[in-house]
Amino acid sequence: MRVTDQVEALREAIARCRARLDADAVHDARVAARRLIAFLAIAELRVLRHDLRRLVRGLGRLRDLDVALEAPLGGAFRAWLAGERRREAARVRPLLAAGVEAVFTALTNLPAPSAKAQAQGLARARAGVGRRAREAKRVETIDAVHALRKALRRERYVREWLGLDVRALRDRQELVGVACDLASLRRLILEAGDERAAAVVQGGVDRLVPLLTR
Amino acid sequence: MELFLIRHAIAEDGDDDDARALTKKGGRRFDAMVALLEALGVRFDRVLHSPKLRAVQTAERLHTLVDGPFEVTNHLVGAPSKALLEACVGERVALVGHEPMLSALLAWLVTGAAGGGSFELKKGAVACLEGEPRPGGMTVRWLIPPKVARA
Repeated sequence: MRVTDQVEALREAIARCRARLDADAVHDARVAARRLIAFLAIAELRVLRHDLRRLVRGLGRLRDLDVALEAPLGGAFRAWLAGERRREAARVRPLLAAGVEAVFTALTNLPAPSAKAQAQGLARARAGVGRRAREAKRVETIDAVHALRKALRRERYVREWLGLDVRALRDRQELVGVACDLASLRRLILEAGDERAAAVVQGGVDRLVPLLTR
Repeated sequence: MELFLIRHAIAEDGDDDDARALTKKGGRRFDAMVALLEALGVRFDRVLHSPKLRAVQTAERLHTLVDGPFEVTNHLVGAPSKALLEACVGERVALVGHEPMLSALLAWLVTGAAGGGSFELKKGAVACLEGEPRPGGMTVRWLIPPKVARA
């Protein structure tokens, strides 16, 4: 994987976001930005991380709403989600403005990390997963599971940069992601004002967390 | 607020101006400036830098002095603008950029007039201004040429 390819992927996803802001474009922009953050982590660069994280976080609620809208939900809650998505889409438009061009330029010219930096980057990412897994097992909370999901994703992207196999990590990340997506759905249900339904979903989250952390 | 104007360190020559990296000597000399700033107790709560590689690499070398985010901006390429001044939000903000833009910005902030002929910022130099980030709203507290950091 070359940094210029990922910058191009991000540029293309942002262009689609500007044009349509559909679920795929939002997802692709966040993935490309996160892969570039992993590149910066391997290279041990502090610059540009904030710019990319702002993009990832800025599109986060939109992504949560898109994931919820993919679920077979009907009625008033679905209509509420669709309305929230329209409002959120209007809110994030300034994030996608011309300012991101500077991010593309800066990223494009970064030199490739040395072999030593790559090995150390992978070791840091692995250690991060180990740390988060132990913490999740100890506390058994959805926040700890969420942190584990992020660590798994980070290691997966680092391995992708190094051309290593990621299948096992991806499977584990997706499994953990089920609980995180459910927790996100619960937050949205609560926001929509249905405390009873939120409590039912919370029950599901509570049952999943111990299964994922043991 | 304190505004620090920092010119990128010595860079390689090259046809692609966006992709000119710092030379080893440039990096080493700028590290001496960073050490001096550290000794002076300088901290930044925000660093804005140009997207050109030499500015990105110069900004990165400041990391031990930075308590907040690094942000890349095209406002540090080309002529000083109101948009750049509006982006200078914070108490101790560093701008890492290029000449002649930084000299022009310094003159604009101190005298209110455009044109930076009165000031010289060598590669790797740092100027500290104090006041409000508006034309004529700041005074120069100090300016350190790179030679001083090497002494």
